[in-house]
Amino acid sequence: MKKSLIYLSLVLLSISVKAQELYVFSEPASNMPANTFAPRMKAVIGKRENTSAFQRYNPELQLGLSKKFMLHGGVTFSNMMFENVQWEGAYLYGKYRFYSSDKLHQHFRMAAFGEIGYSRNEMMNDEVSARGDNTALDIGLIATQLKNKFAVSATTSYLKVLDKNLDEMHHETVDEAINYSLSAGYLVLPLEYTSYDQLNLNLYAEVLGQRTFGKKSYFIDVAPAIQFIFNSNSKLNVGYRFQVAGDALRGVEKSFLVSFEHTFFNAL
Amino acid sequence: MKTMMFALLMLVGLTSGAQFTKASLQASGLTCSMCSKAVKTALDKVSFVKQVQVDIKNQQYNISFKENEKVDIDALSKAVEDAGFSVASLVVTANFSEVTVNKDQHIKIGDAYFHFLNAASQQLKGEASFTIVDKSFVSEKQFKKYSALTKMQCVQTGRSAGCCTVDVPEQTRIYHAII
Repeated sequence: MKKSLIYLSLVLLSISVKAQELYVFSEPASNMPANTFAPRMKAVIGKRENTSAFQRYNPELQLGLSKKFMLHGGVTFSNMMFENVQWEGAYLYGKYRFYSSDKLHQHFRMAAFGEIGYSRNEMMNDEVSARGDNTALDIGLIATQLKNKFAVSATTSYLKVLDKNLDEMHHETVDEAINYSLSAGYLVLPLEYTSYDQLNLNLYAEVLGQRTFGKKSYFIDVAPAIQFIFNSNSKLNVGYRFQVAGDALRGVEKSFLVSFEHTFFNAL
Repeated sequence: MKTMMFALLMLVGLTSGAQFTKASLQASGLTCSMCSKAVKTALDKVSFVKQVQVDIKNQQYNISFKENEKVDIDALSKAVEDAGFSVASLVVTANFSEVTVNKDQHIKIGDAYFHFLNAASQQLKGEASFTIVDKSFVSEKQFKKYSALTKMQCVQTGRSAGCCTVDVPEQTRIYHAII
């Protein structure tokens, strides 16, 4: 099994395809263009034990304020703590690209990001996030390398939970965590670019993990995804995320993701 | 006074009546069509750009300029950089009435000053093209190679320095080019 996985990775590395870094579950170090905005709608549906399916809906607005700085702001609605889907929180995410080295068909970039999230949810799980689950602060670094038409991106961040009811509610709660991810993607279609109207089909594979301090719970997820890009400005993403290892108490361990995003270039 | 007059005459003599008509730009740091569209849209928005034709596969952008509009070459690299990428090469084309260019001489073409790093008493008449080799128009490696062609400091900053204030006012933008 391990051997075949390594072999598959080597094959993927050697295939001369154009890599993509418009990841579905994580962010690349590259920013969106300056003066550009993109609304996005995301839905996550997951199976839960003994209760109805988990649902989370996340409208978001992405803004490219300059070539180096971009902002995401969004709200989340879910049924994590409620019988029906309700508004649960809001967040603001900022990313600053501080290093960029471009060559023909290749680049290496690094960015720093910070996210602050507010959540109405009570703290119940070991899994923590600033996007819906908790009131939290998340700060981190991203490095993305595109070389010989293969791109890979790594992210690491420190998350501090700011929920007020942290101590009142539970004896053993999580208040700090380290997040990390490793992402790769490549373009399947078109085989050769001739126009902006061609449908682009990208495949992604991401590994997403979290380890908490104190309680030392952890999880590692694998998340494959497929992405369609229409008219070089609209993205439709479909992904599936599942846990491959971990002992953390989580709301959901397997989930589907669907998101749609339209980019308005140079519209600001 | 005489020197000033001479300098003035030199300046007039070195001002070429020329109009930039088009440019061919290659962008670096990207492969996908969505990124390319960001570059094209940014170039489309530049005030003096008439039309942009794109070869997505090779990241090549053929830009035509509006007639009788001031062409600001730096605005092209700014547009590409604002889209999130870099200029790998830029070749500009202008129509010349008649002008002779020499190595390390500063010459006004249209509204901007140019410094040719490799010209040898070359006469430009009619349509002529040259490559801009300032820092934000070539890769780091290429810049090293091209900037070694002259000993004048202005190549490092793209602005007139101690080396060339006789020809041009201090801190004036000077585009460095090879032909």
